[in-house]
Amino acid sequence: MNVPDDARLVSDPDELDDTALSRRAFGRLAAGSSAMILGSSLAGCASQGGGGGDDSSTSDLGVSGSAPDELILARAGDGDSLDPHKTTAAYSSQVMTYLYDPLVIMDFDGNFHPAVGQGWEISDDGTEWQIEVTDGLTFHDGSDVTVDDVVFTFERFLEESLSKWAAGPMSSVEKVDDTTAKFTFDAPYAPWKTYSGSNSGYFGVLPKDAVEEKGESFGTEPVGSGPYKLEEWVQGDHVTLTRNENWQTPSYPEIEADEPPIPEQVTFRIIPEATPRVQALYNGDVDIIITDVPPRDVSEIDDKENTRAKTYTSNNCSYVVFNMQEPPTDDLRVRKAFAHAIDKERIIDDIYNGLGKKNWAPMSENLLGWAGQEVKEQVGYAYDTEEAGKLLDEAGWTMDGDYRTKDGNRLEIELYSTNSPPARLQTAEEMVSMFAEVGVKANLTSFEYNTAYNEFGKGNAHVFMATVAWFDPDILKFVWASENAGATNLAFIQDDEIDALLEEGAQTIDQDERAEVYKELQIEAMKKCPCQPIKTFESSIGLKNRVQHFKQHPSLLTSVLSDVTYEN
Amino acid sequence: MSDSNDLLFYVGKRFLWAVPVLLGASFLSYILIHLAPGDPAQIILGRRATQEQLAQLRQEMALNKPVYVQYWRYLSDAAVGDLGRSYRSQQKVATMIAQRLPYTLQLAVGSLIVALGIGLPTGIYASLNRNEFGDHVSRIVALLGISIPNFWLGLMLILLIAVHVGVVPIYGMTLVTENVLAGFLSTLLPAVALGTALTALIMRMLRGSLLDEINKGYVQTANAYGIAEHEIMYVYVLKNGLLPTITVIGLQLGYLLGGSVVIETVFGIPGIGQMTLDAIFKQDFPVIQGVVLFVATVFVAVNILVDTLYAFLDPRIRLGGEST
Repeated sequence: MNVPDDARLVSDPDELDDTALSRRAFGRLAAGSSAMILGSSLAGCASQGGGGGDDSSTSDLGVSGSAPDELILARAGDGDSLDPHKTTAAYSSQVMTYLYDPLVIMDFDGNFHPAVGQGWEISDDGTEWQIEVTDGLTFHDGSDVTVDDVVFTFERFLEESLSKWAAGPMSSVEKVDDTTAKFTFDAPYAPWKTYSGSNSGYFGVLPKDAVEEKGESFGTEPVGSGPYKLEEWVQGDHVTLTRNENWQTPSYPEIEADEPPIPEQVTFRIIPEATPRVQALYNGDVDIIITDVPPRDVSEIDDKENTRAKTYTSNNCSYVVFNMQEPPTDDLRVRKAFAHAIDKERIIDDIYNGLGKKNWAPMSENLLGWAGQEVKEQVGYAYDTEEAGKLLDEAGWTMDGDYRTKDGNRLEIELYSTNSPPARLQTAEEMVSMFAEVGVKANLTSFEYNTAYNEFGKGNAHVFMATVAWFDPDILKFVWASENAGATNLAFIQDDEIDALLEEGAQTIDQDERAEVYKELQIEAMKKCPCQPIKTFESSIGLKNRVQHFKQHPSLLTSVLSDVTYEN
Repeated sequence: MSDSNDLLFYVGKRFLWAVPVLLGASFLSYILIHLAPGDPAQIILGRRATQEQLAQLRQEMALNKPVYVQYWRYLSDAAVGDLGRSYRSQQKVATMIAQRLPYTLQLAVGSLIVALGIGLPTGIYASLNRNEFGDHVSRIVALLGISIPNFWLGLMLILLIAVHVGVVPIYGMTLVTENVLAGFLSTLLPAVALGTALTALIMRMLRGSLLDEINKGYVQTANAYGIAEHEIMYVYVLKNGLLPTITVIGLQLGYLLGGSVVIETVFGIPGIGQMTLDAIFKQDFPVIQGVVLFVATVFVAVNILVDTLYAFLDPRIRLGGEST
């Protein structure tokens, strides 16, 4: 059961791995037309972070060979429900991406193209978004995709989706006429563009009749309009999808062939244990290990004659949270000292075998407006134990034997961590010794995953090992907004300026301007040192060499199956 | 009372005893799960849920009622076969168990066949050839069988046999009801990995109890009467010597039917063990609770079966030991 830190089975969007739009792609979010991705997956699929496609195939090799009858993808776990509104599991999203079509779709360059809808028309004040439903689309059960289905889907989304927070200030969805739907927001809401253009499955369009008829069983008997329909799902064993023949292959810049080969079947095989998962790739039972490549096997997979590995930058980021309400971490000098005491390089090299990129902002570098570099230059907090000592001295905590004291009290803090994945707990253990090096006694307590977050939210501890993964910078609202203090804002930071910037970021529709707002936000927030970011995770996929032209979205980190062939 | 009435009375009594056992098991697991930190509403809605959403769901699920009220609700539903729905998939827990059971059953039966097929003959052989070369070998092998961790054995079998020899698959299990040959081949390695320890256990148990029996007075008497040795062995000694082994097999069968978390994970078998592990990781309480109740029921049922068999084999037992 080898579960890499950033690919663990997750049930909360906060932990969803590999779900980002890159800065680059975001910067280019403009208009566009007439193309669409064939199948992609928000969660767990892969890309050469920001590199524009993954495989050699983005070159001008052209497409040769034919599509495999069945493409077999291996992963360590299974989803829970395939009803997009009833799940937040990454493994579910990985399948739902092929079952459902989103309203619009973003290409590799960050341009939006028609999908179920023709594209957004946004009112000048940014609160009314209209979309015309594409004519002639059908669901897997043969029924037409209509504006009623769109309205039904998003009313249901607002009502019962586990991701309904992502609707932000959306207040209603209504039918304007037989082809147009209108989404109304109480305030402008830029993230909706990203969400409605992501084919994570969570924002896919559902058939009203089938959902109502199937009720609870829709989660196991899903009907969508996407490129594949569910053939068979043996939970914990495999999910088999067959091609939806009615699905029109789009013209799409990254798809090379005029009539791209598309595998007839795609099967997700669940192989929980690392050894058989990798052996199955070597012996050809599996074409691609799509998530959960054991880090220790990456180089071997790449060295073998018949297989290769691709490593990509994920959307998951780890950061150390400081409780700003509780002494001694309520003192900025103490927080800064703690930040200086943490050696990111040691953590990445010793615990993660060098996988991961140092970060200075609490979000993945794939995201729009990531300001890690700027924070590093303008705010700092580089590893510097001398500086840490100096700051603690200033704060009145002076060395007395092994540890520091002030007014007779020892500098002793409570450090909380989740007990899984193992690497996270190891990082926390490593931090205990890093703190000890600057005279701080840290008492480490580990909890079950969700419980750890809840316990730290009670506000009695000082330092917490957290991760955050999502594909829109609006996620910082969960990390820093005053209203979320103690819930998801674990630093308990409550600051009007930061709240205002968070609002501005969410309301700025223009993506370039929006990026600037988030940059300012990160710099301003990090000056108060609510956390010390550690790293952006890196993950890998393993492929058989015979699988060619397998591409990935550079920013959504989704896989594209059009063009996939077996080498002749 | 006639013999058959005795037996019926005995079995009936055992069934009655099952009720408090099941109640106890369900109560303990319910309380333990609810004592553990973690809020079901938060689990279902995720960390980003608003307080209103959480409050509404707690209301709907009666989570703000006292635990005993919740437990009573659970119990009255369970009594009519409704084990509730998974927090995660919204599927009925009973359906989920029913879907996973065939895989676990196939693995359990496979392991049992391996264990009995090897354990019984070697146990008998060893007892008949006490302290001879074959006996020593079998005892060493048995010790190894008990000592080797099954996850390691499973991985070794995968690497040495599935990868290098082929024929059997590296992962996954096909049901024999779908394809007999594929079912057999895919069960072979996991059954050996899971059955090895049980084989060793049966062998040692049987050897020991048979040796005890062989040294008893009635065997000498039978010998003195000139009854053929194989008749003494198979008609008298084995019937008596099997009793403790049957108890062990019964208990082990209960474990096997509960699903082997380790072997199911190593071999990628979608059985009850894997489902339970998954449910624990995801804090899917109704599933955990349902599996506990199911496994407890299986244990009780197997034990009743074993006890009945016991009573059949040894009339003294059903008479409550009066005649001993």
